[in-house]
Amino acid sequence: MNSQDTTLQLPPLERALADLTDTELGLHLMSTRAMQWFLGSNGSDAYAMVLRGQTDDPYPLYERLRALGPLHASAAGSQVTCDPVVAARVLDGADFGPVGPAGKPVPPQVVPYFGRVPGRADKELWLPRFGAEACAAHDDLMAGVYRAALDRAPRPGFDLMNDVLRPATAEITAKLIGVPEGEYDRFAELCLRLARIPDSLLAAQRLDVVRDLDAAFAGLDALLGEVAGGAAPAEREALRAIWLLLSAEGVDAAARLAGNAALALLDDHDQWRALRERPELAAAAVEESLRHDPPVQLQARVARQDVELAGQSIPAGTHVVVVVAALGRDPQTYPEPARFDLTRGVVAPAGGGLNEFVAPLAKRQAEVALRVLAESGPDIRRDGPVLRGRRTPVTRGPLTLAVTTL
Amino acid sequence: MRVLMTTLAQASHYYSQVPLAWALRAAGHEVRVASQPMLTDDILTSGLPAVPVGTDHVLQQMRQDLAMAGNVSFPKMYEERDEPPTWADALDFEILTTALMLMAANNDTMVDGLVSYARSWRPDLVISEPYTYAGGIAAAACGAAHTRLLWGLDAPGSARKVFNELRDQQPEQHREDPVAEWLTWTAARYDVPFGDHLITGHWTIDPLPESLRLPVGVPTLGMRYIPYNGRSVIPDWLLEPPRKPRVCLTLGLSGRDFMGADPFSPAELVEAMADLDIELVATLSGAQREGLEKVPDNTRIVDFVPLQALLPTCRATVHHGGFGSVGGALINGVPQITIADMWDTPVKGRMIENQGAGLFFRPERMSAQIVREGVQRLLDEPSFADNAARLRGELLAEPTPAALVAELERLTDEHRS
Repeated sequence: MNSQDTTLQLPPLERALADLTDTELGLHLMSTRAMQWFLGSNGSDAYAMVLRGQTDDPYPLYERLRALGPLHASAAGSQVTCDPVVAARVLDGADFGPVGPAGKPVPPQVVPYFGRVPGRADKELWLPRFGAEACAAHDDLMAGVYRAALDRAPRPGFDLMNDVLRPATAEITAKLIGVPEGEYDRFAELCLRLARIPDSLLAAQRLDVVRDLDAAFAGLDALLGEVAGGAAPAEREALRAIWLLLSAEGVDAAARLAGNAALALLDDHDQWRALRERPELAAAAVEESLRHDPPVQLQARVARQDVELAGQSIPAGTHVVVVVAALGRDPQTYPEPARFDLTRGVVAPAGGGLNEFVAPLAKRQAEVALRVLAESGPDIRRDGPVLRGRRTPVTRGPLTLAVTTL
Repeated sequence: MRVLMTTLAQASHYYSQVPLAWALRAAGHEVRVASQPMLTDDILTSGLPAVPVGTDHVLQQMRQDLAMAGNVSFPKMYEERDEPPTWADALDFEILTTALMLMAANNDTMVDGLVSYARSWRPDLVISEPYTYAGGIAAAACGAAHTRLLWGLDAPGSARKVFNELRDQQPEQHREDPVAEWLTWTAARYDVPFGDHLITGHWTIDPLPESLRLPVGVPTLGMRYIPYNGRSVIPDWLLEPPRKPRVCLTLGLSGRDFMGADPFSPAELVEAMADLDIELVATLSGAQREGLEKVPDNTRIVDFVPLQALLPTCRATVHHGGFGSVGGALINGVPQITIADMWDTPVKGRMIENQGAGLFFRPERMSAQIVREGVQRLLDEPSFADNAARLRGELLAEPTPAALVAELERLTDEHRS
């Protein structure tokens, strides 16, 4: 079939990105972008509007999705849920997985994942290294890195995201993985370039963005392959996959988590003062941030087989999207859901969308970052508007967060 | 010179290129016309050599698919909107026009075929229809000079200007440029870097009178509009002088073939004018006549008549805003009623109304009474004819295609590499 016939069709998702010409991949991305845009025209499909990713505040769109019922078929091809019971069922891992029944991604995922991901069998290897207990043992290391970054940041004005949270988080992860010190900068640069990976799977990105994600992923994979050379041969590949996930998705997720929390705290003087006075509330701030504005706003799954969901028959291969960010704003469960409250004392729904391999480290990093900021950082306040990304419906978090010590 | 003219396969767009092609040929230049294969017969009919390239575009099919998918509405030109466009408006416009029109009109096989032909034949000048961006790529790929030949308002040039301004005001991280993205990966197949000149050419030839041009700010040569209406036989009845003021009603080629449906009911229009003291000549296809219960006494219905033969005998014309209808009225100094809502047609209709040379109505606000009164006004108020004559004068002051040839030779020398 020649390309003029495929303008509105999608090339097979199972082909590796590197095997697609720029014309094939570009046409696919542009057509998908146009379709997502078109379906959201005149606000007709709220989920398509979310995928468009042109708004700084998607929460009103999430409320529109919630009002559509526990499970809603978007014209963009996914079943969408904001319902806690349905979400729990989709995310519990039994009937729904990350890929389709044939082990491959299904439309409307936009591009295939960029490499391999760790599986359940790798959990044993992961737990003693990056489980909650293991991460807690690195508090001092983490605090030292965040403190140093904070001390290094320019005065009086600096960018909390890019001067402190992103580079320091990358450095901590590099240290824990065992990346050689001389490669820290390269590692951090690759992690930064990969921040949009979760977005690229659902919202069509520009061709150059996808090519750069692919190149950065390959670069990171190669770097971690070198590091894995020092591990026991039987563990090499599994460790490499774990490290890749922690780096490609975990680093920016942790930075966003800390950034989202810092933003909410700085926007409410009483909350910020409470944390300054009691830095041990940092863990509560992280949990509340995971509820209030999670670092992973959407999670996609595919039905492994025909299932019943929310009273509907869902065929195998159906793409289901959980609007994690809407779960935490459910007014039935959380009074005044839009208010960030350190003392709320609830567990964030769906763990704020964090991947299970990523969650313990990311949460610990964010907690330590917030504690350092509150405990030993200068008193800061926001300085100017927050810049948020476009076509970032999954990651949402601030691209820059300007603060000042004045 | 060797001149390669190119257009997406759409007869009405091609017709506006034909007189300049003839002029270049008559001046001794080699002229070839490249388009998708389905235009070949139309090119041959015009007496010019055809170069079919690639496979046919699927614009019509796409429109049908989209209409099935939902409430399709093609973006409005910025000039048609009440509010100045925002960045979101501009993105909306660019994403939809790029993916739903430009990429489909310039399908990959067509671009490949055109570039390959241009590299073999090595034209000195490429003249492209304004939406046939393949022409700019082919010119850059073979080192030819490149000019656009407009057939209506410079909608792409104007939209590009507005978009560039809005884009440059956005934070770096928010910028995107869909048409540049598409042209970048497409032109990269031939090692041609993207630049805005691929879109707007080295210069532009504009067949509208200066009063009806948009302020796009690209180098522009005016050219007198010379009608070409395709293959035609002149009917005998045109020789008889009209006994009553003759009014033309035409819905054009595009209205019939391209858009799929008429923007308003032809039967309704004919009936609206049935009791006027005029002779109405309505060019309606069989399908357009459906719904017309009887042909009114004052009406002659014909399937086709070349507008260039009909309009000089008319005192007014009613049309859908297509370029053949507008241009024919302008060059013959005939006051015109535009009933239109598609792309550049409402903007053009409004500009003509503002010039005092006609009236403009949106189809959804049209009624029998409005049309009847409008036609009566065009016939009764001499200012309409005066202003139509003024615009005709502007066109007559522009060089004919033949008179433009020397300047094209000069500019080609300057711009080809």
